[in-house]
Amino acid sequence: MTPTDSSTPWRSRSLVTEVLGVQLAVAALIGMIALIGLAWTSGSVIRNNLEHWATQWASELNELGAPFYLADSTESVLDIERFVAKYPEIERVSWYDANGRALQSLKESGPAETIAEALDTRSVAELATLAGAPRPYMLTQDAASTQRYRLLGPIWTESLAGDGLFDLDLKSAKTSTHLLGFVSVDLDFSSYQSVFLPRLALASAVLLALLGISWACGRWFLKRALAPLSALQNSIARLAAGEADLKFPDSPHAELRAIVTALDNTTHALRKRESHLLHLANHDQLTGLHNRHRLIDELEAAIAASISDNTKCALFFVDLDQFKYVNDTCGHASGDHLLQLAAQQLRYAVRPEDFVARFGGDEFVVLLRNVSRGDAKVVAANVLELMRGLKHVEKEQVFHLQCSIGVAAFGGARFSAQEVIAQADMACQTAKAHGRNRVEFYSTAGKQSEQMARDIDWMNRLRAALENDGLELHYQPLLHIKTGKVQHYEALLRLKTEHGLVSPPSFLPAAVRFGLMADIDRRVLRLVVRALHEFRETHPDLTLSVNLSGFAFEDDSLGAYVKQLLKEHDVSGERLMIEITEQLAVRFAANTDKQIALLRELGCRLAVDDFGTGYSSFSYLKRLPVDYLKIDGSFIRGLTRDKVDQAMVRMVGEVARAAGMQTVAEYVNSAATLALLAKYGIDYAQGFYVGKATARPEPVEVALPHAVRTR
Amino acid sequence: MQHDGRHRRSITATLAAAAILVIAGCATAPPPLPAEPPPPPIASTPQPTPPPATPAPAPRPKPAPAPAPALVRRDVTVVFDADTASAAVTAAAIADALPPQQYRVTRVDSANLTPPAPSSQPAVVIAVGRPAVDAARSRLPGLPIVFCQVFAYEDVLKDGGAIWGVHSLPPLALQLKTWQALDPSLRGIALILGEDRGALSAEITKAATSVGAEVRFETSHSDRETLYLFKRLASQVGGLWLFPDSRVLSPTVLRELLSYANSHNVGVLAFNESLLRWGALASAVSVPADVAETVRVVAERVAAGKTQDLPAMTPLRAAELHVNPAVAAALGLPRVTEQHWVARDPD
Repeated sequence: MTPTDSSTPWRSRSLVTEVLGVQLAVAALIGMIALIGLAWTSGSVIRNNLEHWATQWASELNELGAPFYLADSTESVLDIERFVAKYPEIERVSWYDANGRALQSLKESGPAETIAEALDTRSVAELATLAGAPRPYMLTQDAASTQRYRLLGPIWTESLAGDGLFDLDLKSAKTSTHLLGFVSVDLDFSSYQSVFLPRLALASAVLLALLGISWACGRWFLKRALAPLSALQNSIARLAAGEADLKFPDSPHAELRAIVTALDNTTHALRKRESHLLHLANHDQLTGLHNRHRLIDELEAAIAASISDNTKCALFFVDLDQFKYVNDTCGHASGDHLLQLAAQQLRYAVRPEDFVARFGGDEFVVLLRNVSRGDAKVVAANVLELMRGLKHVEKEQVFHLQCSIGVAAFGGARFSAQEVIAQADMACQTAKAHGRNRVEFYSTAGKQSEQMARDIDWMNRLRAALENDGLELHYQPLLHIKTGKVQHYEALLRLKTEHGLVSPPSFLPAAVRFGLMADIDRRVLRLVVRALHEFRETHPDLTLSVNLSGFAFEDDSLGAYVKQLLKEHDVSGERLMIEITEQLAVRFAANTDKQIALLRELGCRLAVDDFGTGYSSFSYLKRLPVDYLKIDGSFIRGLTRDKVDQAMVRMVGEVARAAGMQTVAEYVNSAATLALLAKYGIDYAQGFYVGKATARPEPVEVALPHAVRTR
Repeated sequence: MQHDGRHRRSITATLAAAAILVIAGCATAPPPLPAEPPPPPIASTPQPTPPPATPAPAPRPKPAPAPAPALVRRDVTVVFDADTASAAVTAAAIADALPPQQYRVTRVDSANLTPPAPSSQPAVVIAVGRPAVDAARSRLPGLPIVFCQVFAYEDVLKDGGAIWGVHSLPPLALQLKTWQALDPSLRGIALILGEDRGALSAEITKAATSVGAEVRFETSHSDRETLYLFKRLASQVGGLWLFPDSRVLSPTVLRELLSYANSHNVGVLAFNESLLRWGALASAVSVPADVAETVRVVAERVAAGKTQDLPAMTPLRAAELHVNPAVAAALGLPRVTEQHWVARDPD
């Protein structure tokens, strides 16, 4: 469910309704508390009054009761009746003798029809002790009704001690008490309730009415107050939908003005960020030219336009001839500078409306729209000429830059962007093959066309393999020379075809040419991690290494992808070794650096493949963030015969040990080579002598040379 | 009869001694005191019992003639309740009133009263207060008793015997006259007494008649009933005359009575000065000296055996009066010039 989903329940809620709801709830709560408090207070008041009245009634009844007991006076009975009639709460008054036997009961209208029941012994004893007490009564609530009470009290007389009262002092005079009997008063306060409840109902109704009025007024005021906020709603919705080019309505309210200002700042920042991101997404950071991603879009648009407008276009694939030399000799900083110069020249060589992109490494692409083949030839020649004039001076050494240009002219034909690029690339390869520093047009006839057909065939096979699980891994063991154990295998990619399994050299050029390398890298990673999961029972200490192309590191999400794979298959990152080329390792771009750092955080180990073919300086080893060096096979193949190779391998081994790295020697095909590697302190050996690649990580039995065993 | 013989021997001896003293005195000493007339024989049987319920209003007895010089002093025992301050004061006043030349007075706390030896029995016993009367009767049986400071005298007299009393209350008519002087508009007076106060009621009626006052009598059975009765009467009378009938009074009821009376503009003439501060208009109490003098007169007659016309109860002649000016002002009475004085019955 997304925020823009109209079915989302919270979208239908109104702020006004919610605020008013809270207000109403609070008001209702307060009202209820007030009503409950009122009811409670009323009950409390009645109870307190009753306590007060009880004292008074007990006194009055005691006063009225004494003649009743002593004088047998009818007048006193009348007085009691008058007393009962005076208080509507008094339902009945009953008199008892000192033993608790009922004597007479009076109601408001006169003597009751029935005499009250006798008091129990316990009550009699308890009441007798109350004679003369400050609160000479007991007040009990009827169990069946909260509005009915019973007041019980003793009737007693007092007399002063002594004769004559000559030394009378009212404060200290001694008295004697004479219990006459008891009186009970049945009280009914339901009349109060009958008065109170309608008033409570009226108060509740008034409260409800006030709440209703409060709701209506509150709604009107809130809507009025929030009107400027509502005016922002549409603009904010457009902002939420991704639209950054917005103008928010101004508001007279300070609070809303602050919000509008904040929103304006936000949209401004968003526009800026969007522009920056768009620039990052479409441009090469080093040269400022467009990147391959944008090239594809532009090219597809140009192809479509050429078809619809029946116009001609041309695509240049420009490869710098001297770049690798400069880069290897002067370092990548110089290489980068050279690339920037080349980019400037290209930009200068074409029209403003033409499209120039860096395709990767030292390869550039120029898209010319609405040009004839002849015009394209002129522009290409102009580019060649400008490039020839480009010089790079480094440490008093002058490098003249040259380039090879492959041109694919298209228009009206339904080629894909990848096909056009491949055509131009192929033409460029032809130019380089013909001696470099020249321009070649892609020819639809001849070898280029045949090669293109083959590449397209590989591309289709690869795409089908990616879609249909047509790729698999084979595992070549790496022998730990010192122990003779094999726990480490290199995973090698194989493409399944109708003729059997095909190794990467056959299809990788096409994969590169048609932009499939990133997908292949990801598939290989998935296969490797899955294999580590599958083989963990049979090979608990298994470590697999895998080669990744530079394209894999151009993907910002490589680290996250590997992390997800490891988590998904419950595999430790330490079981995975990623091999990168020496060139990639040395020329880490900022983005590549981040991905490699993330892989190392996951525990993955890194190896530099084909070490020794690139840089001659060992100083790079000090800063390479890798764990293994795989010595290039060119040093191993003739190791037993070539003293230079021996010296080279020995030196690499020593330097690697000093740098805390382990070394791997490839193409180990003999026991003598293995013996020498052991002698030079190389840690691992890989090659046919150790074991060929197999469909599963097979245990290997290597006949270790005597020299190895005795070390 | 033994008593008579002893008296005769004593008179003979006294006369002989007196003759010798006269002869001797003429020559060497001041003239001797006149010989005291021989005391009347004390009846060995109880005196006729005065009517218990309605004794005749007692006329004030004539003062006894001045005694002749006594040759032999009579023993008088004054019994009183030492725990009652007023009784002690009265007993002291009585002792002072009895001339020492004629009487040998012994004051005894009623709690410590013991029967005397036959040779030293007093001529008369004066009992101050009801506890003293009861003690004298029980421990000094047969001796003539003169009592005072007893409100419920009817209860004492109804048991009969050689017993005479002095009223505890100041003269009733004098009280009424004083009250009328304080409150000239006073008409109806409520008076609530317990049962068996017929004699007192008759005296009150007579006194009221003599001064033209209208008295409404009610008989109460308890303190609560007293209050109840007064509340019923309050609207019909202008005053409440409180008598110290302890059976129908209690501190609570007294306070309520006085409070109710004040709130209903009823003036109260109380029997005790302490009630003034609870709201009584005035109080009238006996004067100890008057009590003592009256007791002396009665005791002398009893001692002299002249009891033939001695009333059972002898009234007092004076009253000590206190007025609460605040209550008087609240009742709208004429300004009171004196708040405390002693009034005497001109009779």
